[in-house]
Amino acid sequence: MNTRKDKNVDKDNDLMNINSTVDELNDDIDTSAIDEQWAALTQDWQDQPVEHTDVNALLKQTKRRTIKAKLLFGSNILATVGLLYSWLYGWLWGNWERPLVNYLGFGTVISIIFCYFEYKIRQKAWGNIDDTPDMAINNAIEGYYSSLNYIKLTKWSCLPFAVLANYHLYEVATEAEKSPVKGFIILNLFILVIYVITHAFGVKRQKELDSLLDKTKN
Amino acid sequence: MHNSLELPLQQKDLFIRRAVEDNSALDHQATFTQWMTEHERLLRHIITGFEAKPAIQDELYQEVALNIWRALPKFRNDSSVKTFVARIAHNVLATHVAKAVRTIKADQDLTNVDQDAERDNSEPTPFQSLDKEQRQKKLAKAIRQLKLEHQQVITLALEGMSYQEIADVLSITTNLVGVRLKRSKAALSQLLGAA
Repeated sequence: MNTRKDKNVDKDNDLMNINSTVDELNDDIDTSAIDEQWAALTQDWQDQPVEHTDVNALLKQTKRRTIKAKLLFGSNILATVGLLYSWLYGWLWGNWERPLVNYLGFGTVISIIFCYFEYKIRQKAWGNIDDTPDMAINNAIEGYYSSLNYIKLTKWSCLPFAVLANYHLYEVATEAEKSPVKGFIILNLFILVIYVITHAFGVKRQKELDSLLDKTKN
Repeated sequence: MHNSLELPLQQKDLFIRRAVEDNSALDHQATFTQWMTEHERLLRHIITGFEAKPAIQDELYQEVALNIWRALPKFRNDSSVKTFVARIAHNVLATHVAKAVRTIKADQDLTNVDQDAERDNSEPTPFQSLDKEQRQKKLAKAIRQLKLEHQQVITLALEGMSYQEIADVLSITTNLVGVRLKRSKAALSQLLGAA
């Protein structure tokens, strides 16, 4: 089975074979002036002053960033397990009210879908670390597509969430014999704000992706 | 004869395994610290060839460090550490350049770039007659104007890497390294006003 490196090498070899004039073209390129200065240029480049890093601080920061990313993912899983437990407990043993049980049930399903996509995204991002630099551009493009899918998921999940939350609010207000209007306004405004922010973020990401695709075509 | 103080075989295995796990965590940190100390100059130099702003250079350095930390368990000694860290750095930098979010215009007209470079030095001084710091700045700036594939080979070549090492970092053939390097030199020469 061919590895990515092999494929890249094959692709490059094909290009070399098809374009047999490349070397001839190269011969036409005059680099004698820079070749004479090459040793001096190399020396200048290697003598560039660099800002020394506190490696221990860097290590701490790197570990902190890794732990943060893992904690964030872990907290999402923990919240999902909590939701699942609450739903099952409320449904099977707790004799909780039906609207609340339904709300928790739908919430659990949505949360599981989120965790699954988050896992896929992180797995992909972390698995590509030592790919070749050429693949980095493809990975960046794939990353944008994943991000856009995640944004779409978040945006469109506002709709079932809105139906569910409105239903729950209505049931609770009816049982409490109170008007649900004020609650409806606040709730739907909140969902609308989430939708608009997610949409704006999606538009920004799409523009960045278009710019990246344009650049890689050239 | 069995010593009464000797642990049963299974417990011994468990004990050794735990010790190895603890040690591997420590080894991971020690290796990371050693690599980052040994290759700091190389990484900083490469980053300079792709990004001008010091604040973003620092961000990129931290990003490279984070990627090295995560990729460290995958290192299998089938390449040199230098090649491995350089590849990760180039991976991060290719992504950075590809995103084109905060970098300079890669396809800027070469003539304009040359004029910009000369304006920076107030008068059109020949490259060789500039002082060392000015030459270093002009060289780094010129490299940042190159196409991505040229930036990649030239930064590695200037670090003194062989064709084979460059080919390993970029996963291309040594022939292609030669082709790209020659073109990179020609473009760089034009930018530096050496041609």
